[in-house]
Amino acid sequence: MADSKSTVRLVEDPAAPSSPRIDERLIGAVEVVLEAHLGKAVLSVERLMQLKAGDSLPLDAALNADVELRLNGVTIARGELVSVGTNFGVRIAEIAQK
Amino acid sequence: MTGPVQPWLPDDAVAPQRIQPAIERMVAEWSRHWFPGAPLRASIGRNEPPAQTGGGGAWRSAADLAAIEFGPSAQAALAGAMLAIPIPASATERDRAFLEAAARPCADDLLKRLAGLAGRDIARLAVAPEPLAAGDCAWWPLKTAGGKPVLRLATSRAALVAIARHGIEPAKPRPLSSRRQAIAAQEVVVSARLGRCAVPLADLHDLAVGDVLVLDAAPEAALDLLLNGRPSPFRAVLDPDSGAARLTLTANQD
Repeated sequence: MADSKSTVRLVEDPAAPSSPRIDERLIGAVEVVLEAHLGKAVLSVERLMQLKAGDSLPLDAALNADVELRLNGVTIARGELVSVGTNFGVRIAEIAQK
Repeated sequence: MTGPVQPWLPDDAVAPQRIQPAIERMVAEWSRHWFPGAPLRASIGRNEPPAQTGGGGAWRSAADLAAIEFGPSAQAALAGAMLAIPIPASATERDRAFLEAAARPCADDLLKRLAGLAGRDIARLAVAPEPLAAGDCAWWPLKTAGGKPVLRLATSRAALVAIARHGIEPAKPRPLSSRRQAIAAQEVVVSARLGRCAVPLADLHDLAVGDVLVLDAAPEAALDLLLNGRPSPFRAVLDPDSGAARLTLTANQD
């Protein structure tokens, strides 16, 4: 009995260039979000539940430590925290290889 | 994707060869209880679908666990073994009705004992004149000491798993801890997000040491606190503390 399932088979176009890839310039305008983080603290859930306004929480980083820049949770660069007009800024000091 | 929930053990643990000793002991005890002669013996049989022997009262079954062949020949064999007399082929309809009535409690007791092996209570498992629905059965021909087949017992995989599990000495479980205490002790990483900036991929590729990225937050604004990297209702401001960074919590976000 013939198989009633339909299948799609990709075929190569002989006229197309071999190993076609999307040109990176075509997606260069896509924006991604970098997040700047300074230090961390590890707390138990119990301690976390007790936190209230005014409580202090020491971080494991010095104020002059480099800020981490994270892309989707992954640190890809570090830099100095600066002010740029009325905003924070980060001057890149170290960046991951491409 | 969901499906029926079934107790599970590895295939090797529920192989008929592993279950056979328990079935043999159970059948021997059942035989001694019902038959004055030599006990019947259980062996591992071929996998045959119950429908081959027909329905319509030809089987007695205990829910999804087991079924026992209960056609006229099985009834006559059981009754004959109970009475220790051969049942002639010339038995009348009335004789057949008597034999069926005599053999039924004996067959049901076998199912009850098998359910007991599996740790199940037959009182809550209706005995019904139906074959097992599952095709994945183990077969146990019951034979006389002389090797003459009397009837067949079928057990489902669920029964094999239950028998195997019931036969394992239960480990004494340690008392459970308080769920609240366990959660309270769980550690969470709190981090402060100074701000964000959107960067086109092209710029990200070209980013170099010395470049300055402008964040979307002002120095005097409260920072978002992340818990294990996820947004939280907490906000804080950054305070100096002898050179170390310290957060002071502000009112929680709504």
